[in-house]
Amino acid sequence: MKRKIIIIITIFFITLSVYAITTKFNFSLETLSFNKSNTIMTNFNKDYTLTYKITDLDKELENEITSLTKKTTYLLLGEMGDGTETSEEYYNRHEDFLNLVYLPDIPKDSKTSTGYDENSREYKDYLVSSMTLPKVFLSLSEYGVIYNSYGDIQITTSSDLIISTIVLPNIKIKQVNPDNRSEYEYVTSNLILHYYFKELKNDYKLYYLYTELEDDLNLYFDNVASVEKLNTLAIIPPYENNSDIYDYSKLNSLSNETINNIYNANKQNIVYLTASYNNSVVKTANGIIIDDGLVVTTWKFLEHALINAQNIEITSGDKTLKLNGIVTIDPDIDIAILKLEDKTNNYVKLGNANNLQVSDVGINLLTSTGIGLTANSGILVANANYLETSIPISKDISGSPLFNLNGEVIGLNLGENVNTSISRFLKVEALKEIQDKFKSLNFEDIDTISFQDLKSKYYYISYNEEIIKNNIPKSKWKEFSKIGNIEKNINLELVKASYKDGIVSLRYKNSISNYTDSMNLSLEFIESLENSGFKNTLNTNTKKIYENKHYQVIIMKEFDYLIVVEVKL
Amino acid sequence: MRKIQDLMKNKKVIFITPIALSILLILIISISLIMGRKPYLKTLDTNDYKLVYDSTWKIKEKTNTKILLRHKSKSEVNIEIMTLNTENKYQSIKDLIDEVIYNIKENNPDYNLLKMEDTTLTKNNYSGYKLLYENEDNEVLISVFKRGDKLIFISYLANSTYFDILLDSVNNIIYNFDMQEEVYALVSRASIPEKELEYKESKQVEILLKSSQDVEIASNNYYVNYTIPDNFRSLDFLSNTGNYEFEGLESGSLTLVSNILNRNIYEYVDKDSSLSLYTRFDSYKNYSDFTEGLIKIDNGHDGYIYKNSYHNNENTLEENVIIVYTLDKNHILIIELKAMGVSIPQELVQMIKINSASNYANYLKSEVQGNQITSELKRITSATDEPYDNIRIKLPIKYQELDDNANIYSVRHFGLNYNLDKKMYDYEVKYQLATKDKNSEIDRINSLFKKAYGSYKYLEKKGNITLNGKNFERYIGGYTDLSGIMFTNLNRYNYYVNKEVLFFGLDKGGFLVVEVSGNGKEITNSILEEVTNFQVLEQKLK
Repeated sequence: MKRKIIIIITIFFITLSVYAITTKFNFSLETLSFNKSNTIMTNFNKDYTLTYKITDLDKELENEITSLTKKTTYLLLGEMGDGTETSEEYYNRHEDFLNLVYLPDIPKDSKTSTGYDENSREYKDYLVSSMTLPKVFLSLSEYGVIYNSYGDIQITTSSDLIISTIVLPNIKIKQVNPDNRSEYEYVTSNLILHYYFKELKNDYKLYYLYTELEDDLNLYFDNVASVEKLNTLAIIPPYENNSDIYDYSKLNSLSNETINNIYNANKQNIVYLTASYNNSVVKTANGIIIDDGLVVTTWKFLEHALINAQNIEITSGDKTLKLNGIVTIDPDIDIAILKLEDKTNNYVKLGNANNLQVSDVGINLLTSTGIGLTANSGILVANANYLETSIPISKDISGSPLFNLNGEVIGLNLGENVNTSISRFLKVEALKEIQDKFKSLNFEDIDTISFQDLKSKYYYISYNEEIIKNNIPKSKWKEFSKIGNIEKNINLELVKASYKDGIVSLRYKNSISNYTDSMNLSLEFIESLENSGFKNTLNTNTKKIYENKHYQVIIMKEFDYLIVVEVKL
Repeated sequence: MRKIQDLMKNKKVIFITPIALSILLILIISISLIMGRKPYLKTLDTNDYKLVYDSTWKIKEKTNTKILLRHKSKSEVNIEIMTLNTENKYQSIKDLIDEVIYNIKENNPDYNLLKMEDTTLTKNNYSGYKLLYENEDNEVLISVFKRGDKLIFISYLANSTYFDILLDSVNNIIYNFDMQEEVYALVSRASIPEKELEYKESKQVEILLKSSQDVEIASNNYYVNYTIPDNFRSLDFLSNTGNYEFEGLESGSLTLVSNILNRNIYEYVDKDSSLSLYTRFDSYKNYSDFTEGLIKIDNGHDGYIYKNSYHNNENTLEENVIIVYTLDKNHILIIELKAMGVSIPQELVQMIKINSASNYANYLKSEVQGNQITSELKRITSATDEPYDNIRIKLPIKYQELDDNANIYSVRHFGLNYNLDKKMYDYEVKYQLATKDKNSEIDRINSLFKKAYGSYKYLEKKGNITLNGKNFERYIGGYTDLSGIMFTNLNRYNYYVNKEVLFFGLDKGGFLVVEVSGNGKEITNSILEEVTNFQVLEQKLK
């Protein structure tokens, strides 16, 4: 009986220890909910919560367009990778692409030379799609674009179009070598394709398309930043993109005088926000003084600051404005309202966005550097959930205002553009709600939570010290430590060491240098291995393998650790 | 001892023992082979993802969004794929990782974060993050990356003893993991029915065919050297098309025209395609004796030969032969023979061959001699034996030739000092042999001036100038331009283009036009001296 009890208890403990090994790390998709920002909302005064809503794109439509976007990319550029395409495959692909092109039934008119009603919407659309798209196909073929994966796809509706933007990362594209013009070279970049789809007989057809290379865009935005000068306004020429499909007549009569008037009336209402960590800037944004002492900017910027920065500085021209705290946020519409320490005695006038028409003029005032302001102007290309304009604005600077010709704010830039030449603005109606809510409150009575408090509660990531463990039996260590004379040749702190079934693993922490790669700190050990007859069988930046008749040594870099695994063969 | 002796006397034992020993030996060998066998790679290929792992791991769970691998040490690799909703799918991985860390912290208070790294993951270098956690007994490595609207998590959990030992095997799993993409089926269209070509007797042409000549054509970034009978005489010096006439015929005419097109061969020979060679002969099908045929050729360069034949309204025999060669999937060389009053013999067609075809970024024909580039311009004044103008231009080697896809014998274009930031040359010079009068040429250049971006001034005569011992009429003007970048017009630099146009009169009438542009630069006399170093020679056609 005693024996039986002992056996049962032993089995029980073995099972328990086995169970402990297969243990409970609770991380699976069921627990991942992306609702942190909702939890944070509980920290703000409920009376400040905004009611303005944005309606989402229909899920089914979104899936359909995502699939169509990938297919269009394939028809335009061929298969992924640099496999060769036969003439027959090219021909079939070309034909399939041409079948995707928007080709409406054009009303006839025998009086015109073409036989078609040239004033009809259908004729004008025909000119856009059927005249330009076949040429784009041919010119992209000439550039020999090679792509290996589909990147992010972003879909939105804009007037009667569905615009889908796909980024193809790390593409190779032929470019003439400027040093030797009889040669091609392949350059690597990210290719951005913008597809404009239009519905025709219950199907979506390609109406318009244009392409951009990311490097060129970055150059453009760098140049925009470089023209800003201290306390002045730099006016960028009005931007006319895709003039095949939009009407720029109202924009052509915009004068610099109008722009300057708007600038003079509002330069003190636009602020520059800098989020820093250890005196290094991690993110910047613009903001608008929406009410006396209240700044509105994007939640996107504030969240980034909470995650990565220690503090936020706010300036307007050469004035520094102290931040008191965060009043409230609305992650759904992407805004954050901040309160300054002192009243400003100035704030913007708000206009109306809902009654604006496509091709109405919008003027964006933005600061990329905090030194001066840049004025960009364009037209409205859509007015639905958001205002969309033809002004290209870098995604990196959100929070700048859009003005109408009367100098009233009609939108707030969200730094989340439809595509690189259509920027998206939150409609002023959302901001009006903010003004209404806070108009009747005393400035001193507006509740806030400080940046530091919010950060320490939800965003502070603390890193911990490793638990030092060494379970290599002495006898085994005597044998394995001889390999490459490891104790002498690696001078790093050993944090983990284990032995199992003829394998020793050693983990070293690089506490010597932030700049030297941990792999480079194993060079003496490697030299010792080579001198004692080990042959190198693999050599990459993050892994090296050495072998002789009796042992295999794997040297790996993981995070800033150096890991050595010695295997007895 | 006695027992063993008795046993040995037993016949059964004598018989069974060797068999039992052999089986034992085989078992021992097999076990040691299995124990010593190196792990081998296994692949899991589904419609949703592709996974490669070594045989020390076993698949315990598998759905289209989750795979669980377990090792005999009870270590686990768990791969999960999450579809992001509309709010989150447009966020970058940097935005999302914070939520991941927050969730882990909320659900696993006994695990401590040791490391976090912003890195690229898998062989496709997707942007992602790696996180390392540990508690008293175990360590967890989480790799997260985003693919479109999917978030992929690969978490590796092991007891501290095993963690580093299995790390290499796990890193290989992460490296080789990928999502599958949709495959699209193309509708196969190309069907080219072949029909034998009919050749008529053509003694008049055949007796003249003796030897051949090599000729060249360059356009659409291709340079092709091909052979034709040397009875064909060149009618002009266009380098981007061939234009020849068959000499020596007593009656009738036979011409050859060649072109390089940016087109796919099937588009050109598929009867159903609106771009095909068949469309231009549609109206001739009404002739009662119209015949046509198409055959495939394969003499080193893939292609087709098309031939038709008919008597026209005046009862004259007309024949057309079109030879189409594939240069690549979207470039073709076309050689067209057109005969009137005479038929095209098969022998002539068989003498036409491609010798070489090369793809050049630019077709450049300048020759480098020492520290100079030499280029030629040619102009025929008539299609007879009259001499033609031959201009030999010499430029310092710092000038780069630019290909405009134009005819290199009547227009040459060079650039000086390519500015990488602005993506343009500081100076450009264009040479043209203008056959029209000077005023038309000035009007043409003026019409290309941009007027919308700022101030401009049309070309005005500023007297004469002598350069390199030659006398030129000098015109000066300029305009403001906006620079552009490939595909788009986002990069908008304003700059002033200074223009100087010099006219040099040629003996037989007409001019050599030297058009110099300074892109944001003044045109100096030294530039003008450099670009007007040329000789005018008279040559005769063969």
